[in-house]
Amino acid sequence: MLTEGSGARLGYRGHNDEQTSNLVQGTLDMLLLKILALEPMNGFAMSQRLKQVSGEVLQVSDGSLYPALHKLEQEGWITAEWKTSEYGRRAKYHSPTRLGLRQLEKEADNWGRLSSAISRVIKLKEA
Amino acid sequence: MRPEHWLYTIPLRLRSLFRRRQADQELEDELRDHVERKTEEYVAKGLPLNEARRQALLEMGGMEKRKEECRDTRRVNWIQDLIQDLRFGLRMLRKSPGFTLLAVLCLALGIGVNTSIFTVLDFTLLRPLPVREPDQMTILSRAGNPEISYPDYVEYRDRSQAFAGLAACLPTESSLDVNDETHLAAAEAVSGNYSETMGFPTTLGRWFTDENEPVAVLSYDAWRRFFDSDPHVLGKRVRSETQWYTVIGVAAPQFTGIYTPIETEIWVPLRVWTQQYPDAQAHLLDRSHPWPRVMVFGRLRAHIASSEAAANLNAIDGLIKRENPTVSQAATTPLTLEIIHGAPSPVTRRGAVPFVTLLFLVVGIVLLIACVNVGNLLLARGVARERELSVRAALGASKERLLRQLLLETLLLSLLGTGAGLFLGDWTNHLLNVLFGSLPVEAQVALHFDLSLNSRVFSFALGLSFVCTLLCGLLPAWRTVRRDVYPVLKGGSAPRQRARLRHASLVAQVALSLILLLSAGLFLRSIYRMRASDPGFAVRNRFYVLTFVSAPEFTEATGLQFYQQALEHLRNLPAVRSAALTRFLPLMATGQENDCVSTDGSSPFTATLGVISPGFLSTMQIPLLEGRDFSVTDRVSSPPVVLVSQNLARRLWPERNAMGKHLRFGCADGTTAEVVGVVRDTNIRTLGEAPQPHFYRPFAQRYTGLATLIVESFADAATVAPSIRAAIRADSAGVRIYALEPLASQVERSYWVVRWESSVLILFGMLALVLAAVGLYGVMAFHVTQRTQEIGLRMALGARSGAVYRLILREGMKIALLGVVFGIFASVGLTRLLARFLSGLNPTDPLTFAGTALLWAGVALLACYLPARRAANVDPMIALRYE
Repeated sequence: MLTEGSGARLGYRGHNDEQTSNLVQGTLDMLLLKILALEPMNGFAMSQRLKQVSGEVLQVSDGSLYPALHKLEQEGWITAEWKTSEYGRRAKYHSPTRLGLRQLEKEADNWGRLSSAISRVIKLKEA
Repeated sequence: MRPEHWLYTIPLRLRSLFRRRQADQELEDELRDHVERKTEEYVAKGLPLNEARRQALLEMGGMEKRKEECRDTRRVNWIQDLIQDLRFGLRMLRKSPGFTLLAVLCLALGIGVNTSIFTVLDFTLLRPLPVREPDQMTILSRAGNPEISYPDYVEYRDRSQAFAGLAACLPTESSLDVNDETHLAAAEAVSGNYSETMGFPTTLGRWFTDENEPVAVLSYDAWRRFFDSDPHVLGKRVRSETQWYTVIGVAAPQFTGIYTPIETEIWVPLRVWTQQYPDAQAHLLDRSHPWPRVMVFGRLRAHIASSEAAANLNAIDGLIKRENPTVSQAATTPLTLEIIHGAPSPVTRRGAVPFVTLLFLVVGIVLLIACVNVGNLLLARGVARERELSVRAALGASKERLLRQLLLETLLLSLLGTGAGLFLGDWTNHLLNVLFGSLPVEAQVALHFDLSLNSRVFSFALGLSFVCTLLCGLLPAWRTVRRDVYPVLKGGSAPRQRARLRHASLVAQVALSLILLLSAGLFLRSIYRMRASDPGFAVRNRFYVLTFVSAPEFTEATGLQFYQQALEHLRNLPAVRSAALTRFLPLMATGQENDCVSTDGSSPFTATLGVISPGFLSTMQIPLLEGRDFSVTDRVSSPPVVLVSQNLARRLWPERNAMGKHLRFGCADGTTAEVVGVVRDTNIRTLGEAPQPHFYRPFAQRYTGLATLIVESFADAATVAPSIRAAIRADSAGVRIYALEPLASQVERSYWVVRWESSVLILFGMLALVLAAVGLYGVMAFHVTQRTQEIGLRMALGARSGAVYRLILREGMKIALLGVVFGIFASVGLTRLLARFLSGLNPTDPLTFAGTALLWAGVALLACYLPARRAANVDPMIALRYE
């Protein structure tokens, strides 16, 4: 895949790709939901925002972003609406649904538990 | 899944399905917008427009690929693909109407006849009774025998808590006098709670509930036939046997009684019915007496399983046994309880199983042949379509997708075939009904087969179409898809695959159809043999008249006198040469009278008994080998005498002359009679049987009201029948005449099983032959087409057209003959199973085997001739240029 970033790979490669673990997939979903929970926006703005907030560590390729957004939409977690943007061009704006917010909460909880568990493991010192 | 989830997703799925174009357009817009912005961004960073655009697209990683990924998330792709495949499949079928027509026709034939036979199965074994809540209706039986003694029935009825009702029914034949005409009718003498238990309505009037009131309910059909659907039939009087009944109701048309396929025509109260026979009332109430017994139907209480009810009945059986220790029947074998499906009587059901099995075997083979045909057609078509399929495969269609496409096309064919097959099946059902209608178990008793299509039949047909799809589609589709695509794309055709599969299937086809044809041939031969066989008595120019006299008009003395006078009147008719009397006709389907025979000191064995008048032997041209015929001097008061058959004489007195010896007959209490003559053996039970031990007693010494008069006359039936009737009625209008027919009809009827089965086998055997021949022709024709270039090359190199002709013919015949050989080997094993249907014919009759093999060889020659001729006419120039 040509456009995969060289940083931490969060590529959503479609559901057939066995290499993508559930963890990573779920994490991308969570990130997207979180960003949208803060402010409804379109796909392009999202790709910008992702890079911006993660300090370019998380590089989600454009190619991976859209299928991921579509998946969230088909799951009923976000809805899409065509709106005219500030520059006067029509764009598809995504915002999370009630279902999506609940999902975000759940995944954030999971993530919190997981990351604290991992940190604890990493910080173990030899006795 | 959660409902809230559906609230969001269902509209999305529907939108993806039905507004796909809009959804796709939006997707396109969305991605394009992204790429444009990205481009602008890069331009702003200073890249030239072209480079900026390239970079943006590169980051997207292929627009089409991403679009497809986004579409994949919609989860409705499979439906869209299916619709697409269906459309494409229909288009492909329309594009080759010849192939489609042939395949659909083959499948329609196969599925049609199977559906038709399934209807028979449904009627005899599956259909619920046409009554209220039929799944509660059960029938009682002991080891398959549904005859229960009446006192036991009463105990079950009164003691069991498991049933909402238990009804008794005694199916019987009876005379039915309507407007001075006597008909033989199927009757049911039933308990008072019969209608209430069964729960079926009347068209007119009401049902009786009192067992002692002389009233009757007519069947809808009897009402139509005997009373022209007269709305004022209620209150009219009909006579059955010796009893007059007032008609109080007409049953609803769908209910034809419990003795299907015999249609009950009249229902009468059980107690009234038994009153007309001298001992019937007492015997009915006697547990140990074998006649009359009743069939018992129970309607289960709601929520009670039939196993619980059966346990309950058997517990009651235990009580009966304890209270009546000498009882012979109760509780020796446990009672079983069956929910009624199809024919109510377990005896009928058991009898139907071998027929239905045979029929299903036969039509199964027809279906198999049809499927092989379609399979071969599909294989051939797969070759013709290899370019199209290769292109699709090269463009990225997966093997699964192509396989699905091909199978879907086959499924379409099967469904079309099923549709056509249902039409055809309906038509075959009419044909079967005609065949069944001619099933003359006995003269004048109506058989009724309701072979209409219903939901079970439809489901069966639908299931069959799926089976056919897999059976004929899977292998060809797999072979077609598996093939290497590259040689085809390079412009040539794929290397000619070995035709082994096709040849093997052809061999199987020929063998299968040969087995059917052979069986049909065996049946035909056995019929021919029966027709030609000599039953030992004269059949031509003889008529028989089934008559019955009874109390109160006749006593034994007046009855005997009546018959003597009737015979006199008959003999005086100008058209009549002789007349005599017998109790039962030989070869009667309903059986013969048996008795135990022995001499002093020898152990008794069973022999058949004929009860005859003087002159019977000469009228029937049965030679008297020794001694004398019965005469008028053999009376009730004179010493008992008997005539014995050669076979019986030989068995009892192997070395000595039987004349003057004493024969002991009667199983329980014997009577001894003098042998006054020995007669030649005749067929008694079935045509062509081995000689049976048989003896005759004079009618005068064993009188019954039921007798068959035999009349020898050279006139035809239409002219002589009225005068015969008149002569019999001359002295008494009280005699009932059931049937008057040529004796030959009765003899023919005696082998209706064989005749009926052979008609079915011949019908289906021919169908199989035609299908297999079409298959052989089709494959050979395809074979020639495929080898056109090779043949052209051969001819260009000097092969003569005659040699090519022989080459093709030889290849085709090799397959056919291999099939014939296999078929014959298989038949040698299989036709043994038919032995019981063939009445004595050797199941490996060499003549039939040789004849069938020759017939197939001839048909195969014809099927190969046309393709061979075409091969011989190949123009080498054209064939080679084609490349």
